[in-house]
Amino acid sequence: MFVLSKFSDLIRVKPQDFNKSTSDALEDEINTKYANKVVQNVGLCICLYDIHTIDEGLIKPGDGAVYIKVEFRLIVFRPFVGEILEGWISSCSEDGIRVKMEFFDDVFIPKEYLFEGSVFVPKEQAWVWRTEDNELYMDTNEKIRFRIEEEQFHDLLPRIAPSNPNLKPDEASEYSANQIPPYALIGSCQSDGVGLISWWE
Amino acid sequence: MKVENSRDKLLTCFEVFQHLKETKSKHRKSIVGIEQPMLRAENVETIVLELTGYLQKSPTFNQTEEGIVEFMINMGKFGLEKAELLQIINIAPTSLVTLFSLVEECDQRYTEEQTLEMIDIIRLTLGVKENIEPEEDVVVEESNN
Repeated sequence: MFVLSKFSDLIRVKPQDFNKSTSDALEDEINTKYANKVVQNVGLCICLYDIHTIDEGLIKPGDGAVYIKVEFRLIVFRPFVGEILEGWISSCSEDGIRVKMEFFDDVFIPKEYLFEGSVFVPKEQAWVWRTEDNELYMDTNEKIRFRIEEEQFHDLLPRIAPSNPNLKPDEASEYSANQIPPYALIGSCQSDGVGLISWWE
Repeated sequence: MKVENSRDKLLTCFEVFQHLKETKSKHRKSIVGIEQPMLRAENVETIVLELTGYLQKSPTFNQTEEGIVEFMINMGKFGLEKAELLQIINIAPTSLVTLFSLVEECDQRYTEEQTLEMIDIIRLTLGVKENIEPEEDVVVEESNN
């Protein structure tokens, strides 16, 4: 589920942070820059794990800050294809099941990847797995186990704030909600042992 | 920014959880010598809080370093792949069917006694909660028949 990724970066330490020790200041800067952000083809960065090397600081004319080249490792959320993960169903739709994991909500299980014999019941807004002698419901907020089938990275352009100042707040939030996630996972529920945890225990 | 190696090492949830706990309680000495709790940016606090919340609900919460070391020593004889061991530690399966979903071709590679022994090792070392045990026994019996 988690990996360590090695990065090198030129970190800018602001003059007001000069009272901190170099490693503390770098830790704060690295965390602020990377935590809870998706790096293309790397994954969702959680936070700094350790710093390997710190080069000499450089200064630039006209800038009070110091620039330091650092090699460090980050904890990154990047499950491998085939890995089994656990989450909670956040919503069901005709197309499939959306799963949330608290810190990461862009997991989707399309209907093609559900158990054979699963149908969507619009009245209940839930998927039902019909076996020979049983009906198993997949309701929202149930704990679900799924296998990772695919990972999708989307390189997004910087988000432009809606230029229309007359836009109502809820319209603005809708605007940002429609954005494609930069990192999304496609899961499946097709083999024994996956699906709702309560089924198998 | 340069990505030197996007997969340097694999981490278990337990290691991540330990790291989060350590950084949370970290105090810093400023140059003047006063110790104070670390102040972090909002995005750091968000992800740390959410991830801690998630991990607290997983088996990770009850695991100990000694338990995992013991697990690794005991499981050594089965020759499982690294990725399989990693997933077993993260999920701590207590039923055969869950274990089978984590270990590839489990029924061909291992005999029934071996898989049952694995479940026993998992129960003993990976901080499995006691309250789900009665149900587990039913599952084990069913698969025996």
